[in-house]
Amino acid sequence: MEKIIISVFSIGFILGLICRLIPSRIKYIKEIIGGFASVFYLFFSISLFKTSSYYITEIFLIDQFSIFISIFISIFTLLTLIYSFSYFENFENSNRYYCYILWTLTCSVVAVFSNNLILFSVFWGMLAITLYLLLNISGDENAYPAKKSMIIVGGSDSFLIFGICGLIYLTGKYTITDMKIFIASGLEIGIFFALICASLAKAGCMPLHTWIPEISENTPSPILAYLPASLDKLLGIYLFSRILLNMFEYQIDLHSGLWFILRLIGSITILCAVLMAIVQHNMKKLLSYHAVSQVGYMVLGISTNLPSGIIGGLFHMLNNAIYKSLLFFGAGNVENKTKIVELEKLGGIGRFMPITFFTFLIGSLSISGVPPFNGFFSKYLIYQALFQGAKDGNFEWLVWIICAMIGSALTLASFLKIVHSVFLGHLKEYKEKISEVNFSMLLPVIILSLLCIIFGFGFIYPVKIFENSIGIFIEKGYSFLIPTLTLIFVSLIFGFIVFSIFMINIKKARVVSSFVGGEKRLEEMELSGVEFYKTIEKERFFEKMYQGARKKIFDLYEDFKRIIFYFGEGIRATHTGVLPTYLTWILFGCIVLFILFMKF
Amino acid sequence: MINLPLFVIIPFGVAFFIPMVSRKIKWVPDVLGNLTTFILLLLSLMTLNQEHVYHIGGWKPPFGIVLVLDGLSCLLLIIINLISFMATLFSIEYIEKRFTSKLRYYSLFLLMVGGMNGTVLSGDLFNLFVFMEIASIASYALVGFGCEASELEASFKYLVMGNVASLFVLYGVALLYGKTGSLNIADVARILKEIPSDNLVNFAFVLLIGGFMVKSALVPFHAWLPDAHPSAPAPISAMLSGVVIKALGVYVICRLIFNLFGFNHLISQTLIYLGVISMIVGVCLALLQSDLKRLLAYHSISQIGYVFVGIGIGTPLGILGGLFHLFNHSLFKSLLFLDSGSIEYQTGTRDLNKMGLLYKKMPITSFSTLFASLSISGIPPFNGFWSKLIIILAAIKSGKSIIALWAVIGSILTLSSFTKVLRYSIYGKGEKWEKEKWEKLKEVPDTMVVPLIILSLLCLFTGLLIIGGTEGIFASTIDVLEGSVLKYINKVLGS
Repeated sequence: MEKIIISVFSIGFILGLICRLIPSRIKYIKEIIGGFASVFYLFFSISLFKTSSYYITEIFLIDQFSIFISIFISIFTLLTLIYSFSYFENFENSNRYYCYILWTLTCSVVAVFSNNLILFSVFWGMLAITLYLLLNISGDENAYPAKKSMIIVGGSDSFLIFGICGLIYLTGKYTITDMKIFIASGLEIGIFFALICASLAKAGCMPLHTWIPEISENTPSPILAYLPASLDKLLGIYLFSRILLNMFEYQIDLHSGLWFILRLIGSITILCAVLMAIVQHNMKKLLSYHAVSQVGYMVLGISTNLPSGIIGGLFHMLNNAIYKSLLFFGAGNVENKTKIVELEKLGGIGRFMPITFFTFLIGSLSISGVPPFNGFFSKYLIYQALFQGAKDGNFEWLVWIICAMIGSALTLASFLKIVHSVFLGHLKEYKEKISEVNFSMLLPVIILSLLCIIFGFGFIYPVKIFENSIGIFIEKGYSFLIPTLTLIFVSLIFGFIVFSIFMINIKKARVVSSFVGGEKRLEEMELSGVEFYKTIEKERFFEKMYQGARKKIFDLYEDFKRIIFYFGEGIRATHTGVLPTYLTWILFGCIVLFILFMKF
Repeated sequence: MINLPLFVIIPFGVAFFIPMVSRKIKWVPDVLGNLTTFILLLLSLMTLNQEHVYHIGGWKPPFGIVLVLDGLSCLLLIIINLISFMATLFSIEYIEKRFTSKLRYYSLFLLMVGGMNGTVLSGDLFNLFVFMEIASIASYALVGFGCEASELEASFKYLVMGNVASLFVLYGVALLYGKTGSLNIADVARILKEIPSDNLVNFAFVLLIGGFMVKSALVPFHAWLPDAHPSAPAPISAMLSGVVIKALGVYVICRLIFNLFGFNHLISQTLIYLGVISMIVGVCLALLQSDLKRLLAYHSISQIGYVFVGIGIGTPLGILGGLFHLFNHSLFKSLLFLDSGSIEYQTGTRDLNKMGLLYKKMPITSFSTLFASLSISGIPPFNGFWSKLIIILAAIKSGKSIIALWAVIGSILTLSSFTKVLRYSIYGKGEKWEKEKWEKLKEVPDTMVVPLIILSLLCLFTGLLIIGGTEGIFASTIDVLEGSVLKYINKVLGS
């Protein structure tokens, strides 16, 4: 078995290397290799899943959970590659792109399947390199955001190393499954947070989230959909749940404080990121803030330490990966046709890109938690856990509930904004005629929107898989949702039939421009979706907050940069270049040694 | 069994031979220089896993001069001769274009190599001092090799501070000789064990350690390095940062502490704290630099801090981490300096703000810079990751988790600094980047590319040397340091 796994992993690396060596101008070979590799990994993971061949050794950890994650890693890779087929058709760096995507795929799967902590940290660290390289292929304007991401993600990996060394020291073992640490001392708390820090930086949770909005402006949509939207969420939350469920032991009296901090991080992330999202004018940046905000739900859910919260958090991780990559792909379609990402300059293209519009709408409804789409059910489970916690009238949990609810409402509001500004409203002027994108760019969004629906109506199956794989079961059950779902399903079908009949009748309707009291319609009469939300920025409390955010005072990266530069400048000022000063330092050093080592 | 004096005789011989024969024929210095370093590399590889005490002229110690080959000297020999071969290979084109008088260059280079080989093999204190001086004087000359004002100034500073250090060392040696009547390290150690320790010995210890700390550029003894290393020609910078500070500094400190004076808690604490200070101060200063070579020079201070932390921890795992990092640092730092040399060779600048988008024009230099940057930042699977991992693990295991945390912070800052380098030079562009100049760029000549590729691959694969941990390939080296003073005495003097 071990040999099979190792050879499977080597195939990914070798195929990636082959892609790198093929010149960019030669078409189709790289695409075929990439597609083959992802399909190969998909079948490999599915075959493991089907045969239930679980395999836990000192090196590999192949259980239902890791297999399930690896299946989705492969699916997302495949969809991204299908999407890239048209998107990167004439891309000058396509050989590098395919190579790094395949390496990312391989490293992710190995990281998920590894039981050995060192192996895990190696492949986890290599993911930072592939992220960095992928971000850099899109041109020199992405060099700074790529640098920032590398420092945050790669730097947090250093904390992971610290945490892993600590785990090895505490247990004397190297395997994830052998860890069960009871947090009692300061060192253990340090190790706990070092590991958490690594997982949250990868997933993009506050306060380590700033790399995601930063990269969103100049990075091509497939890369955004692949890394920060789907894979990094799967991996980050995978590690997060392994830390909370496998590596550390929870005892309510002693550890509620630590878990409280996690819940706080989750809630703040939900609220602040969505507040940032709502005022964005750049479509991709808006989506990227939502990518941050949704992590808050997962962190909040898993750190409730209640069955429905944990399952809900994990399910939300999966759902988020689905609809967020769907949304990024949709944004990519719009950008591909209009070459515009600013919401003010977009409008009215829904009619020309109906499939993109429809799928984007499904994605928006899913992320906003509207039933019967998948986002609703995962959020529902998380809310269940929060209500269960608040049952005793505990004030703390009420705050979490309020944060989560406001977060959901604002998510819906900001998606109304984006859907309205991009797809509805008056048609703006574009350089080229707008039409629907290629099939290869539509197929991924169609598949993903179908997944949104399937995981909505059929939420029981993924939930059961999560329950079985981590061995935690929701006590109360969720079967009462099924009649409601059936009702929704039936009424939707009924509604669709009525709508179709109605559409047949109004086919001959004529289309005229809006009637504005006989006046000529002018530019300034138009209200883009962005205008409406500007009022939020002007509210007294929020105004300060947004000003602070613009100055990047909430950006941990910038804060540390300031401190280090301040410190560095101080030391530099002492380096005057004057020889006698330097000689004095040597003398000073010797005197210190003298005092230390002489016995008086 | 290898004849140990060859490591000294060959480079010194060729160093004097080159100016004699090659005044007329242009290619002779290149061929002789490269051949010598290559032969030395082969010889040093043959010393792997060997232990040998060579008595010069057959005179038994403590009266005769001995050359001692053990795990530690073997490691250093390999580092010295590997990097010097890479540097001479790189020099062929580099010196041709940028400097004159190749024969003087190779002479000085080989004197430096011979001096370092002698230092790491020498079994007695006075010879160690002499060899160290030979290597140091050659390096002073090489730092000022360009003969421009800034280079001469840097060389002068280096000379003054280096000489102060040498005087400390000489005085320390003299005091020890006065106290024990012997110069042989093993014999001095034997006598010191027998007599009660007093302040004279402690004073000698302070002088020796202080002197060698200047050579290894620990904060606050570091001030010469940021001037000297960038001023030298790139292959010499690679030698200085990659090898000289280790052979003349770290190695001797290890030898003296572990095999002569004996390791204790106070020494351990001193090394660790000085290491941590160097680690953080060096990297903070590096972050502010925009001169590529100066930035690299500050990182040398920082990385030497890691080595001292590892060795200062003193457990087998810590020593393994320290020594492995020493080995890795010599690879990636010399690679980085060679990369900076190639960039300077083509673009004519060391200022990061004037560079940009090199990955399109100089792909091999770019990829080797990427490899080296990831190595020094401790990103897996490159070699720097493994040594840092072991240092952090060793620190936590010996109950020094705060030190481990500092190492982590240092690592993040190093990553920040090198992503900055990559951002300005390779993937993005600086503010003063000029398109016209950039369009004329091309990859450096083949003889300069080869060392870059070899060192990059070594950075990628030497992580594998860690397999086996303390029982692996480094076992004999750790054994030298971990074993008591007595072990060394017995080995050299015979029990």
